[in-house]
Amino acid sequence: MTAALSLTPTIDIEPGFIDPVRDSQMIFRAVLDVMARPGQIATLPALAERQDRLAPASTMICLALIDHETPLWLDESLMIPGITGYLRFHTGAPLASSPSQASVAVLDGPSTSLTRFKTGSDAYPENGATVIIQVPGLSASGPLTLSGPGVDGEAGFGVEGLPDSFWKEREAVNAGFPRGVDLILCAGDKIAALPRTTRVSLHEVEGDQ
Amino acid sequence: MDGTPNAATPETLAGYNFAYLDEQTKRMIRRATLKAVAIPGYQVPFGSREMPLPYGWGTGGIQVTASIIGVEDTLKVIDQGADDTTNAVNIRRFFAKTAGVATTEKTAEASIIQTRHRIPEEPLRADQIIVYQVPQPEPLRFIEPREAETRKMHALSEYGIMHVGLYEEIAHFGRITQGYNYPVQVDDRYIMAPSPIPKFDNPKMDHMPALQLFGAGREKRIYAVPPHTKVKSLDFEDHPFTIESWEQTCALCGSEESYLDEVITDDRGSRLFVCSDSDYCRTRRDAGHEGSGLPVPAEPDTTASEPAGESS
Repeated sequence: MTAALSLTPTIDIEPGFIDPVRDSQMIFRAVLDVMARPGQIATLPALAERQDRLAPASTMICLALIDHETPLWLDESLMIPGITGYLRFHTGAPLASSPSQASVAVLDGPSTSLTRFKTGSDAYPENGATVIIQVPGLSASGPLTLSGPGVDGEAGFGVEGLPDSFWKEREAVNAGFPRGVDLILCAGDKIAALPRTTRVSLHEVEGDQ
Repeated sequence: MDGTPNAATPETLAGYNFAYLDEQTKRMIRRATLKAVAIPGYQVPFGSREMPLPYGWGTGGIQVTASIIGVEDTLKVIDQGADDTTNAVNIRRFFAKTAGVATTEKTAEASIIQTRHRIPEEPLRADQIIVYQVPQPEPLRFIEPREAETRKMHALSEYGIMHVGLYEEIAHFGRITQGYNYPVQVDDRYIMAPSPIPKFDNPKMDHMPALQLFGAGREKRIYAVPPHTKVKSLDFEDHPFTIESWEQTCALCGSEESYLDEVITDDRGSRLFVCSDSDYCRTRRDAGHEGSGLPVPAEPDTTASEPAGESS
């Protein structure tokens, strides 16, 4: 009996969306909404939940938007069989061997330099990667000021867990607009997006200019 | 009511995926749409599918709508401002049948508005998305037929020739004669075709609170203008951009502000001016506004060369 079982090894893969058509649409619309309004924070409905480092929001965005056409890169802390098995089974996305091969990436914190991802070309800027970064928290007010398309004037924004150097690096990566990298930030079930067009400025501490 | 098997509602067609397109196609279009939003005004190529109606009937807009629409949405479709024209009625029915979504003719009630050639008069809100049907997404195409060249011009912001084209109109006619599909520049970067809306509607695109999506089915392009984004109509300092205006008011609702259609009412050139936006006009009439209801006689100078006193 045990011999028979060992011939058919199984991996515990948690379920994906219960209603993939409807659930994918709901998640996509939430992502579209935040991508169109940088800094706006949306709370995703709990349509697929798992119990490891892959946050509910990044899980659902992957289920909704990636497939065999989108090489996926996961940072080291997410490259565990439970996660790779889950995403490959439910989405069919191939795992990229390096960040530069990926069209979509999921990072747990600022683990990987944004300079390593594709930014597209001037002629085909849409080939720039979409990088999903899991962070401890998001807030609509904070030390960051956002402006650019989708922002009515200026908007405050706060992200926990990303150092000041991250914003410098992002600015450098997106300096060659239209080339650039688009970010989706996930904190638990909350998401916000920073497309390449969004200008992020850091307030100096204690109201310095 | 007739016991249609497996139908979600009596009105919905069985046997089709929600909103007609398969899920892989929707994901592809959704990803293209997100990139379009991230790069305002840039035309993202996408794998346009064959739809159950020919190119030119709004297949690009339909594919965008099919990819964003959900069961909670309320869809409005207009063609030249009107809800009751063939194209608009067919597309509305298409989504009522394949997605079972609610449809409306009222701009204020819609969450998604698919449009051919107009932007509603009523200002759009942040919780609405407008989807434009686009026949020719490339604003440089009439100057430069080669895709490889126009792509390079967009990549390098090499847009001087566009102003040359407008200048030539001024040189010939004393003004810019382009009345629809009037080119715009988005966020000071990409020059974009606003689709064949009258230039009257161009100012509505500037800093619009609603997300604007554009789909070109035959040309296989999706592009977008995020909310609150600068959209500037091209012009010159000494020839600033202007929009159409009318001496007449709407014969039905008396509006002095809306875009008017000219309807010929007899063989003597009498004309009736009415709002192109049928919902706007109806809403105003319901609120008690009234127009003259009368046609305007033909302008004297246009008939001056005609032989007077026709035999009828």
